[in-house]
Amino acid sequence: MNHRVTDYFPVRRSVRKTKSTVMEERQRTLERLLRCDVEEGLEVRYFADKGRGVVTSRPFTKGDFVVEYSGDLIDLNEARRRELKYAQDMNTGCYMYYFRHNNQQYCVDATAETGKLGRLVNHSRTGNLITRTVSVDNKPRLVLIAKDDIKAGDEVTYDYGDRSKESLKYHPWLAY
Amino acid sequence: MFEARLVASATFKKILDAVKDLLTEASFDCSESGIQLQAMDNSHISLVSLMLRSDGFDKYRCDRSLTMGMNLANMAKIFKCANNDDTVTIKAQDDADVVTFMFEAKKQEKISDYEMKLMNLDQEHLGIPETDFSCVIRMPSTEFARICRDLSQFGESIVISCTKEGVKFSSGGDIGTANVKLAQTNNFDKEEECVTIEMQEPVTLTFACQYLNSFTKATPLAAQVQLSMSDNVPLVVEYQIPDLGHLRFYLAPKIEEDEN
Repeated sequence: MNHRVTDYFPVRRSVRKTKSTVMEERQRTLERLLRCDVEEGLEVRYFADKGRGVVTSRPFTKGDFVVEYSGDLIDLNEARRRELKYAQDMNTGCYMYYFRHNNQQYCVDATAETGKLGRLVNHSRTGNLITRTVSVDNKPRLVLIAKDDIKAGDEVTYDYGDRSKESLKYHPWLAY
Repeated sequence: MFEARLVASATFKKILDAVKDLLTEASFDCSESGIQLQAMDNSHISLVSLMLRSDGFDKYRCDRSLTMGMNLANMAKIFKCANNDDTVTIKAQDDADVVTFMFEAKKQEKISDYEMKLMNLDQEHLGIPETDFSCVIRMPSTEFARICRDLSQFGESIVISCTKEGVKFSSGGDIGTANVKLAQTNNFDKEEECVTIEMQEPVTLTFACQYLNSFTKATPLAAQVQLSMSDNVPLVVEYQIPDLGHLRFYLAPKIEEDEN
């Protein structure tokens, strides 16, 4: 007589996945979207008070990838050099995004008019997106993720996080 | 759309050879993380669990998870049409009822494709808990195959007992008895030939020869085999498929006579 494997292992009635599998799948999806430079469900709109912004053309669910903040990935030295250069021209907006990834400081410079949407997302202290860093092929990338469910037609915004005196002097809207 | 390309199509041949004794049909669950198969043999005494990771393939794309039920004998027929050094590409549409196997010869002067009907298999999935085993034995896969073959001449079952001295395989019947003892090797020069034993607690369990012999059909897949045992759980016989994944067999122990 022999025991059966079903004596030891329960039959799984559903195809529920473990948390780690779900996380892994999410990471893979994100990497794939980033590799293909996907920018879907978004369009640029002109706002009379603040210029260009990005609005959704379809709903997003909390946790969805919305858009990448894409630009040149540079180190701090290069970032300082560029800041000095940009400071000479008052028409240059602020497109330098500083962040830490794996204990190293980086900056994504999106000053160049590339047609990418991530650089056009406006600031709000109570925005509907949050930023996250993701490693793709060993390079950090900045992504904007839906903080809540977002309806189609809503403007997407996130908190630029910069409230230094210097920045507030030139960009008072950062306070809101 | 599902598409998986593997330069070493021979790996699939070996996998099919390894499981076709136990399974006539099985569902391949394809997702972004890879291809998985879990199925019990008809008697529900053993279970086959195959995992092929997506990053082990030369190309892998799976837009939506899909389950492909296949007749393994027919799948083996198709892979017999391929040369060992052919590259295989497995393709299916999202809601397809067929799967396509495309074989490319090495110099690319010959491309063949085979389409096979998929089956709707209503298979039970078992939840296999992670277990800390009392004994984990690693040994050359050919050695394990040899022991199983030799001992099955003497009886229908093999007793595997693992102590800190080593591992003992024994069987007995009308002819007499047979015992094979393996001690841990101290020579670590050739990793493939090593016998290593990690033991927390000694374990002795009895298994049916017939199943062990079927598992050893997987020997060509890996130089080493890993046996994991604990009291009151099935034996796990694991073959690592280099850079791609693993093929595991679970075998429920025999009911001891005094257990009744």
